Amino acid sequence: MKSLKFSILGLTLAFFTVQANAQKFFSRTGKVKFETDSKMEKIEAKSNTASVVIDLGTGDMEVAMLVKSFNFDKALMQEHFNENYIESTKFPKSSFKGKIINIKDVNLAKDGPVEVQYEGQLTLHGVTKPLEDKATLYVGGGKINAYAKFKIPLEDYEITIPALVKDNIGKKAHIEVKAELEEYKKAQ
Amino acid sequence: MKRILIAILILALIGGAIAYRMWNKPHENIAETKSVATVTSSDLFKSYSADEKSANEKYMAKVITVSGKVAESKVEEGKTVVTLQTEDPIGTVVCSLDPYSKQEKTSFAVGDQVSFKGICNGFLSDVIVDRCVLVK
Repeated sequence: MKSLKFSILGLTLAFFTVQANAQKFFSRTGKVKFETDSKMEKIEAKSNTASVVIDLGTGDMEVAMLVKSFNFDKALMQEHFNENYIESTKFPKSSFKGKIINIKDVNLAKDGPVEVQYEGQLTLHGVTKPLEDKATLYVGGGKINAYAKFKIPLEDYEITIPALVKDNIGKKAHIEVKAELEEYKKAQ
Repeated sequence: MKRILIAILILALIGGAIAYRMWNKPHENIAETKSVATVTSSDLFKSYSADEKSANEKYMAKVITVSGKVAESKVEEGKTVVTLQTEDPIGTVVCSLDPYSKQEKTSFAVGDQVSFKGICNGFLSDVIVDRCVLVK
């Protein structure tokens, strides 16, 4: 019995050592989509230069982007979004800093999807609010494809919509984040 | 009376046409826009890592030309992103090719010396330049 206890301890130690050595995964080309329901016209913006970092050892994660890099199909909409709603000159960055709670379920040696639970702080328009939801990490060939989708009430982030168009723009924004993460290597 | 009605109708048509054109206004043509600064990827990264605020005042939301060696060229979902090496071991300049411009080249070899014109949008852990077009 004693030897069993020791071997469990040994295994646990070995496990933690492996976890501590686990590399960080990152992407400089994370894709973020911002969408709101609208009766008149679909409001949709995309960026493909978000940075995404996940630490497989600790579960720490961070997504950061520059709000000005959101592209709209309509140039006028992009102008209004930047100047009137999101005020991107005053608040150029948006980020999510948090933790994946069940990071231990992610096993690099086992290809396939893993549903993860995350929690943290989302900053947008200079306002920081807690956010928690589920995401999916697809492990494959030593890479991780991350996918997350969540809704945020625009009101919470002090984004005000002019009364004139209030009825045409949804009160919630749907945010979608996709990234193909590679192991972080210091030398290039 | 009839004349006034016709005049109003013409004014309404002109107004409508202007509104329609404004609504469908095209994106700024990067290839035809003059860049306000020409800088190497190393110098651009250095200005940002030294003082982000003053670098933003100089470059943010402006059309600039940045040149450097390709660290990586990636196509994801039909969009090309090229990262340029800098003297910093980790930092890069991330250049995202413009989806609204015609791109002659969408794949670049690592180590190639290239020059892109695009809109500098600021700094994360890398400098981000979006809507890039290749400069010959």
